[in-house]
Amino acid sequence: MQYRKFTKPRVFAYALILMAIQAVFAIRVSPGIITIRGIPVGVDTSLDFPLSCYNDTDDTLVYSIRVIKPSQVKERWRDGYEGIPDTTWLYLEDGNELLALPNSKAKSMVRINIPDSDVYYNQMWAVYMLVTPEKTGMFTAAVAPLFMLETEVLPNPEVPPAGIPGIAPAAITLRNDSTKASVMLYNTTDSILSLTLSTYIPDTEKGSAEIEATGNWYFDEDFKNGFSISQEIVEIPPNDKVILMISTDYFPTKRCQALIRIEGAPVVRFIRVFFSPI
Amino acid sequence: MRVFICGLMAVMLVCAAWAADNDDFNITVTVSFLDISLKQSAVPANDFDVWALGSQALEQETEMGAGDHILVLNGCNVPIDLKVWSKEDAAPACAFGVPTAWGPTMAVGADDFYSIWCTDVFPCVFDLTNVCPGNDLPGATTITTAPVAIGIDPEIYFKFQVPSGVSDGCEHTVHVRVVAIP
Repeated sequence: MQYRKFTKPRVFAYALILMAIQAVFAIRVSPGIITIRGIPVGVDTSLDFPLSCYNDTDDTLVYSIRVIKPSQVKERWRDGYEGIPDTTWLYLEDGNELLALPNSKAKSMVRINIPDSDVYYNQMWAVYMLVTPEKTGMFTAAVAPLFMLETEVLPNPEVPPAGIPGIAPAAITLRNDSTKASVMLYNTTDSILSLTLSTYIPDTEKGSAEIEATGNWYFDEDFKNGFSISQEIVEIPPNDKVILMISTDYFPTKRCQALIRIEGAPVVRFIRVFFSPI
Repeated sequence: MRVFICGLMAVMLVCAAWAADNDDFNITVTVSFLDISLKQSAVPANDFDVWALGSQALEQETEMGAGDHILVLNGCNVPIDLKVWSKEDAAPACAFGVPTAWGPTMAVGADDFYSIWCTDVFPCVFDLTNVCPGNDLPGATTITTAPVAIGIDPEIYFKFQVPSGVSDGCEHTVHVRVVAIP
């Protein structure tokens, strides 16, 4: 007969919350949502801002940071952004744990290292950083800031850009003396891709915009209505491409932008159309 | 030499104008902070610092009540999804040896506990689809069916059930993470 020490059937188990008094009930992290455009491909790059964790307690806290794809925590996220292909590309300069002294903040610069391939230009990716304090307690508050990343634009890549459809370039600029531009849409699948295109400006109600007007290029309703697309319905044969022409008859007096919304593929995609009066 | 410097300056100006194109590296912060706190529903100034279950019989269930549940103070300036996940991290050894970590499941078992949430008014319905997932990530299920709007502070009730059998008599601390995701 075998005996295990201390294995008598027990009437009681314990679910005592011993350390709860040291637990972390509040969390404040910056930024909450951020969009970065023009991210270089093939270069380990600082994104020029830190992830900051604010420790408002009298204890030293360690924050654990984990980079996760949107699909790991959401069924649907911001239109226009696909999940980052590899979460290891985005990282903190000081590693995935930050130590914050009492009543201070811990911060570390955010960096990205996208492999050098034409596939990764013209991309719009979403990614979360899950920030969890590492204190033992029953209930802990955590947050997951959202990063929307747009890689450098490359008009004529040697291989089709990632995405369905692949888009090159994913952003164009029209000017008074340059009123037309072309964009290539690539179908990298083995079936016909039927797409619907429309000019678009996101809902700008606070907190609900799914795509941001980056920099000083404001969304402009008149410009949205003032430029035209050569085709609003596009059918791309398998492993083929089509050229889309964009032109404007409207000439704003200040910098602005609007979007071309592409629907019909597994995820909604966008082309940014800028206007520069200079 | 002057011609060269002027030429160089002209090139630099052209480069500067060119660099101010749409493809410049630029950053737009839409939401500066994500900020949530877990508070006592009865006294919102106080942290929800303890849900002391004490000694529990095997398979015993305990629910948070109308006066002692969690108020999530939502300081986020953007609609958020609230999600939870739970697990027991490695506990220190006790007089009974090294404890076997309890795992979260859909129904209690040997060393398997069960925790579930509901929200809104008390008594709310503990729906089986709201069992706290046990991975290291919160999973797809949200606490509220729609995103929590700016300025709304949701209330959460938890129910906990002790495993039907335990390998040790050590104290166990189950960790429930409440995460805000924009």
